[in-house]
Amino acid sequence: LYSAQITRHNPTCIVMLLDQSRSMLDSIGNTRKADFVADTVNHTLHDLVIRCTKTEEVRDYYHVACLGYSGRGVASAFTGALANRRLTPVSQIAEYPARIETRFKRVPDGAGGVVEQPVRLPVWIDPVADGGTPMCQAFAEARNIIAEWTAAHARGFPPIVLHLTDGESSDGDPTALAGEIMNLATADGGALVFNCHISSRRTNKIEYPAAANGLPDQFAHTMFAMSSVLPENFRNAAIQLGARIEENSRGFVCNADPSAIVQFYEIGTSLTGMAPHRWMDESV
Amino acid sequence: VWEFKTRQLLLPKSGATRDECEDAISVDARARRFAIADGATEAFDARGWAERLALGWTKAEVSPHTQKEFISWASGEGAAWAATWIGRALPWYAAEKRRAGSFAAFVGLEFEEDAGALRWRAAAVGDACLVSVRAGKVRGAMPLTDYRDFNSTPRLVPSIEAVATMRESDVVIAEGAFESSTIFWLLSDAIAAWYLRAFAEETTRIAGFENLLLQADDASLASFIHEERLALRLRDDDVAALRIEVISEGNAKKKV
Repeated sequence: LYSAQITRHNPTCIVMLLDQSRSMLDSIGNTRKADFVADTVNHTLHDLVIRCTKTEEVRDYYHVACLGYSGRGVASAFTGALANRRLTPVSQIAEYPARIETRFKRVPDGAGGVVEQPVRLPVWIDPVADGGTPMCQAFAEARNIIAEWTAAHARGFPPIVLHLTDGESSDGDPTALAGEIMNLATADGGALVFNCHISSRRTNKIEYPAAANGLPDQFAHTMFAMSSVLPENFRNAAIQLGARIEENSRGFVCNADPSAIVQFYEIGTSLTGMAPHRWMDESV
Repeated sequence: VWEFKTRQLLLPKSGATRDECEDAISVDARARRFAIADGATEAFDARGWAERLALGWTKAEVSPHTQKEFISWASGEGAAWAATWIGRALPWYAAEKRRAGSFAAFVGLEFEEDAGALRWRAAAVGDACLVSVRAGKVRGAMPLTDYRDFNSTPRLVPSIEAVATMRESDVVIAEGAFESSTIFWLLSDAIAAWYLRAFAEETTRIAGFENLLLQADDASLASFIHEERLALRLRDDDVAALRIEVISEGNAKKKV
């Protein structure tokens, strides 16, 4: 299980669920949560495109959906030409960023100092923070997408849901819906659900727990129950990235700080045979 | 006078087309130079860089004899490869990938005559291998000697963009006197690991493979490789295999 080779003819599916409720206006570190999450997701999409690039061609190893949920309901989080697109082959993501921004990366100058070097960063997701937290609606939409995808890709590497939220659901308990997603399977295993809870407060973060004891509250218990056990290749990637992992660690981070959020996406997209990518090291 | 008789196999991984094969073979029997290179699949223009390295070895005016000379030679090849991309309008993702450069495993072999005797010299980086066989036994292998030593993170020859990361210790140089009846094999990683393992396990598969190669029976060879992959004895990767048989003038005449 969880060993199918990912190819153009046998791609996999990644669904990113983003909490875009009003509380995402709160700060994390020196920035707003919504801004930091949009940046992280843009970097993750960029990394997926680069991994699929063969010289001048982008091969469709991944089909990707980015869904935002907020007071406006559940909708594609893409802006620009991909707005309203549900599941999108990675080659289309490569072709249609909303815009390409220039930022500056600090690199050694060879004489003991650093210089700022311009880098181009494509943007697909803009920060949004508005209204409530309809998490159940978001998981229901993810379930529908994955049900269609697994029906069409019976041999594929199982779909992965990467869910990021900063608070409790405002439309009920999503546990059963997460369970429905995990029960959708290909021949290579059930769909995987990984959850990242982010916090403005400087409280103890708990990363990839193997058991629920020690979790701070009922919400954390709910998120733990909604999270898949990390398959071996994800565990290996997580270890390479410096995370502390046990055999039954779940894809769940509680009270994530900025570095834990970045690591969550790095681990969640470190699919079989793909080396984890550390874009945070690039100090953009 | 020596004659160099070669047979080769270049085969892409399952489901890929021949154009997508990122291994390369170059043979120049007159110059007595032979090479294979294995482009790193995640790198930019992996096939182009592998082809450049392999061809560069067989066409070099002077082949590198030391680790330092090898790095200097690879830098020159890297600059020539990079020049083929200058001025090309690339989409953002290709331009970014190009900035990181390209990488390939490499093994090159050359022969020189010295006072009527033949000597061989080889240079290798990573897990593309030279294996010498005589009287049904492996007499030497480089840079890896054991099938269990192959892994997913070999050292590689970088193109000019990353050449500063290359260390002299990445380059393995070996040489020796040619001994009659020795067959030299240049093999990319998957088939090299398979070959060394098959020898270690003393199976008859080696003979089957060699016979098909000598018969130049491409369809049967492809089928053989497919079966080995299905049996999980051969990792599903591009295959480059070059068999080099050296025949001295006297023996060559007898064969005619």
